[in-house]
Amino acid sequence: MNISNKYKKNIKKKILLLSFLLLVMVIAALTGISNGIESFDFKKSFIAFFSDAGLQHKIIWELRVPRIVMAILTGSGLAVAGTVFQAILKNPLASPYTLGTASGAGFGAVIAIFLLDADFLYKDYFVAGSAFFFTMLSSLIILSIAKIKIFTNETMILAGIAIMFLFSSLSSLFQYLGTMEQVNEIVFWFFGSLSKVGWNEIGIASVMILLPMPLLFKWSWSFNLIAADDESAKALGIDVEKVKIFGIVCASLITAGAICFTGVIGFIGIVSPHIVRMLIGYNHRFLLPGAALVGASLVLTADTVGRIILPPQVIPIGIVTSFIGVPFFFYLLMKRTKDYWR
Amino acid sequence: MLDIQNLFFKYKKKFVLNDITLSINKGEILSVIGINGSGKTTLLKSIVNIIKPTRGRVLIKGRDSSKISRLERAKYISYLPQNIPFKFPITVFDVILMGRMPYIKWKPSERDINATSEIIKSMNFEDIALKNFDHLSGGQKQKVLLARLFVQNTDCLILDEPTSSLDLKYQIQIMEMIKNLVKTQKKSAVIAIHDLNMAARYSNKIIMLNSGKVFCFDRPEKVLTKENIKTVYKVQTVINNDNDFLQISPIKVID
Repeated sequence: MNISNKYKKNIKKKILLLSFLLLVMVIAALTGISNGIESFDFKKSFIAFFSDAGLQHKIIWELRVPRIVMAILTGSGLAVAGTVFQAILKNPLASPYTLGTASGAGFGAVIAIFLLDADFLYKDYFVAGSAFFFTMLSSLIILSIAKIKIFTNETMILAGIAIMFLFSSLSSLFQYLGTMEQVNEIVFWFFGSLSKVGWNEIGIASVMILLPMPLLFKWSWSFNLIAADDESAKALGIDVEKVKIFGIVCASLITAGAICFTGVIGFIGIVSPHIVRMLIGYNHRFLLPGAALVGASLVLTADTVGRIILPPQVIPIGIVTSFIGVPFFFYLLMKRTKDYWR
Repeated sequence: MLDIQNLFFKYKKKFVLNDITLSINKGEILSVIGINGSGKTTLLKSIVNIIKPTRGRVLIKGRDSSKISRLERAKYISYLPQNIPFKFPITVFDVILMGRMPYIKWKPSERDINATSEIIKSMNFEDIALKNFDHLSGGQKQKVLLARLFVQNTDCLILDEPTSSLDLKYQIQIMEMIKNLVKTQKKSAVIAIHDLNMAARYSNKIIMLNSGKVFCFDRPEKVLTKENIKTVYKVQTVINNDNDFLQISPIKVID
């Protein structure tokens, strides 16, 4: 078979794998809708989904569907942001979590929760805006650090941890100073949870997450080249500085959108791109949508697990993702000498 | 084809490039030689506009290259850096396909894929085409990167030490490939190179840099003389001209 047909067949295989990942996400979403403290089988939930009354209908539409939608938004957002950070910083350990940008978003949200009245009408918007501002701030710190050449993969992550600590202690300070009510809200926020999400929050988050995504997908080839080498990317006609800065801005906006109402959900941004690289490969044209699907599936699954593992308790999703993420993170560290580590 | 006029590059108050003027015609190879830190790589990067020269102009086919957009420029001039550190696994096919970047919007066209396939066939890469680039040997990697340069299909090719750290076979293969392309398709190539014998054998012209200035710019036998090498490299040499090309043998360092 000639080589160009072989390549095209390879592409078809990748598209097939993407469809498979989409199917996995749909199944994870359906499982999430059907299960919880009150579980139904698929058929029952299907009927309840399309009926217009009854307790099951209420549970599904008022409790489950919003969290499923938010899980998909958050998961895909964090995964895409992680993929973009990894490409721009040429660092396989980069993610909103490990770079401290998520903690930046966290601090932004905390400060808004702290300063604004609980019943202030536009509170949600301020929480989102403040989260975005601090995400940008921490991203810009990381980007300027990355410009100094002596920073290796490991030291950059250490810098990320430093930023994470900075924002975490700032957040703790506000907790310390806060009233009982504020502290409750903040602590709950830090566990990471989908329980408090309503349609209003989903509206804001979906704008922040879905709007920048097409732009990032459009830059797939630029990310392919920048992940390898800035100079040859420039020589191949890419405006590297522009792609980097707007890429970081988009990824930060997405991170803030994913995090500002759900709290800190770790490891999705780092784990998802690596899973997709193993399955589909490096090309960002397939990697970005693939990571979005895997991220969404992981958050959906983690949320469902958190709801059914200790009923009637709902384990916050941030705790569950850490249980999945930490072993995988160690696995990546062990694997470093083999493939994409230098 | 390519005209460099009074190029200056200043870094930390020091001129790394100082008034460089040179030109190269169709079907010619120009070698840039000089000791480490003489400004070879800086010159190449300024020609490709990866770094902006402090003063001076680069004309490609008579057009001022700084007035052309980056994407448009990538259709006229291509660049092979000294080394490319790929951190993520990527197939050989995709590495070469990247050379079509100036022509690709989001989805590579049939033409891009065919151009890539053709060069893969002509360089006998069929067996490794869908393998991980990182698993290749140094020589094979360099040939793949050269294929990427060729598939970009520009009139000017700028190469930074394409043969350094390769064994003899690959050194000759790479230089022959560049020479064939330049001769048959009437392209121009500028090559930074350390090996004076290679430079002597494959270049039409040589530019010898000495601390950012043009020390000498002429045909190989005019540039590669005992005296020039002694002044610039501080090395005593014996030069043979028995065969078709010059042979330079270093004897000892002069302090």
